[in-house]
Amino acid sequence: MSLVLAERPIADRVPMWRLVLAARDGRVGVALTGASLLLILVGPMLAPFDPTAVNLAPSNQPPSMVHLLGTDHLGRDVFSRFLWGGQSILMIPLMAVVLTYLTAGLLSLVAAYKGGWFDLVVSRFFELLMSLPALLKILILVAAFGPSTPVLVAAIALTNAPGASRVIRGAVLGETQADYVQAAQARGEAALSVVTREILPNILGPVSVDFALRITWGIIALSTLSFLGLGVQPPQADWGLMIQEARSSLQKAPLVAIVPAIAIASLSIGLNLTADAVVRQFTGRTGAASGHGA
Amino acid sequence: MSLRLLKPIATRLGANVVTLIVISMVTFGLMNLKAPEDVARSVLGREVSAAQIADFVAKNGLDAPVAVRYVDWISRFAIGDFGHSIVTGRPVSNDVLTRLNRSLTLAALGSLFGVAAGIVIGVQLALRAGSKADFRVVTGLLVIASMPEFLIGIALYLVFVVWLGWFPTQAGMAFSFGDAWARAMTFVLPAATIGLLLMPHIARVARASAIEAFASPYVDAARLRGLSERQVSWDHAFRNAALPLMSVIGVNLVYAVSGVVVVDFLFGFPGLGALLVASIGSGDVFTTQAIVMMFAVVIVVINIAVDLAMLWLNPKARFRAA
Repeated sequence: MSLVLAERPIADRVPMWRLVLAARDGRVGVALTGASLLLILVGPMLAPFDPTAVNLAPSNQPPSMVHLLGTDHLGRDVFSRFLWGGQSILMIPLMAVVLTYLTAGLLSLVAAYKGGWFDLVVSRFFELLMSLPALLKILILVAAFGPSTPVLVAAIALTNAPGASRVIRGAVLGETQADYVQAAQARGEAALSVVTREILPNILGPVSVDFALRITWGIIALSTLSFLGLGVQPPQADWGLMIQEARSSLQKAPLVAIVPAIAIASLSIGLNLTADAVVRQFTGRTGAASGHGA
Repeated sequence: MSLRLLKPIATRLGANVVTLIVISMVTFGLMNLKAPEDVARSVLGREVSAAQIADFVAKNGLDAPVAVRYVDWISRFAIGDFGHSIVTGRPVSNDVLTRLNRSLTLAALGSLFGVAAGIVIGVQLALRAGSKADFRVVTGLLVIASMPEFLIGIALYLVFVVWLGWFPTQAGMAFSFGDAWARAMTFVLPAATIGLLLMPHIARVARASAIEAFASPYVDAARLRGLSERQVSWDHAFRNAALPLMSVIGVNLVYAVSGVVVVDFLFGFPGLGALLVASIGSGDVFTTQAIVMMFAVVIVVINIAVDLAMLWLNPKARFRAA
C-alpha cells in the first residue's frame, strides 16, 4: 500500500480539494458548507437589531421592509435572531468534538498502541457507553446538571467518544506493524512519542473525516436538544431554539421556523456531502454518514 | 437448538443484564446528585420554610443514603412499582405504562416502514448499481440521513398539517376526545418521521450487501447448479446479505425507540418521550429515572433479540462462540 503510493511521482498527485470539487455532490457540499459558515461568521455584523431586544415592534408581525422576517411572539426581530442564531450551533459542537479528541481520542490512541489490559479496559468502557443511544445519554446529563454551555459541550463530547475511539483504534491497529513504527521503536522512542509523532500524522486522513462528521452529528444533537427546550436557553438566539419557539405559531408564521430549519439543514447536509466526497477518495465508496452519531 | 448454542446465548444474556445494571446505577447516581434540600427547593419554589423542606424530604424518602435508596428503587422497579412523581405526587406507573404502550407501537410502526422501505430501495439500487439513477438516489439518501430528525418531522408537519390540513395540529387532542380512527391517524406522521430517520441507513447497507452477495462465488455456484433464480436470491444471496443487514437493523431499532422523544414533542403525541422531556424540564427526577430505565430495558431487549437473530443467521458466530 505505502509502496504503491511512493511509486507515484509527487507532481502527478491531484490535491484532495480538486478531487472533491470534481464530483457534483462534492461541489454542492462545499458550496452549502461555505455559505452556511459565511452566514454564521458574518451574520451578526449585518444584523439590523439586537437579537434579544423585546418589543421592537408589535409581536407576531408578518415580514415587512423594517423587519424582513417579521417579529416573533415577544416582538423580537426574527431576521436579527436568525443572523445571530448560528453561533452556538457551530461553536458548541466544535468545542465538543475538540474535547472528544483531546480526551477519548488521545486515550484510545495510546491504548490501541500499547494493547494489553489497558486497551481492554478502555475499549470495554467505550462499549458500555454505546449501550444507550446518544440522545438519551445527553438527556440524562442535562437532567442531572442542567442545560448550561459547559454541560452541553461535555455531553456532546461524551456521546462522540465511543465512535471516535473506534475510528482511532482501527487506524492505529492498521499502522502498528508498519516499518516506520518499528524504526521508531528501535530508536527507543517512548510510546507517547511514537503515537503522536509517528502514527498520528499517518492516520490524519480518516481521523480528519471522522472529525468533520462528528461536528455534523454534534450539530444534529445540539439543535435537537435546543428544539426540545433542553439545549441553548432563551433569550439567546439559536436556530434550534427559534424553531422550538415558532412551533406554537407554525400555522400563522411558518417562515419563523422554516428559515432557521433551512439553515441547519444546509449546514449539516453541506458538511456531510463534503465529508462523503472526501471519504470516497480514500475508500472508493460512499458511506460517510453511517449510523446516527454513534 | 443444540446444547452448544446455550453457552453463547447465556454469555450474551449475562452481558446485557450487566449493562442494564450499570445503566441503572449511573442513571440513579446522576439523578440523585443534588442535595435533597435542593430537590425540594426546585420543586416547591424558592419561598419555602425549612419545615416544608424537611417535610418534603421525609415524604419522598430523600433522607436515606443514596445506596439504600438505589436498592429500594431498583427492587421496586423490577416489580413494576416506579414510585411517586415528586412534582404531582401521583404514581409514576399510572402515566408511564399507557405511554410506553403507545410509544412502542409508534416505534414499531416507524421501524416497520423504515426497514421495509429501506430494504426495497436498497435492493432496487443494487440491481442498478453504478448507474446515474443509483448515484442520485444514494446522494439523496445521504441528504436525508444528514438532517436532524426534528427537521424531517417539521417538514412533514408543514406539508401535511399546515399546508394540506390532513391531520390535526396536536395529536394529544385526538387521544383525549377522538374515536379509534382519529387515534389511528395520529400515528401516521410520527411513524413516517421515524421511518424516514431509519430508511437511508437500512437502504445503504441493504444496497451494499446485496451487491456483494450477488457478485459472490456461492451465487455463481448456485446458478451453475441450475437452481432457480428464486432459490438463488432467497436461499443463497439473501441469507448471506441478511447478516450485515440484521446488525444495522438492530442499531436502527434502538434509534427508533429513542426517536420517539423527538416526534412526541414535535407532534404533541402523548407518548413516553413527551413525558421524559416534560419531567426533565420540571425537575421531576423520579419520573425521569423511571422513563430512562424503561428505555434502557426496551433497548437491552432489542439488543438481545438482535444477538439471537445473528446467532441463528450466522453459523460462523455459532461455532466461534461455542
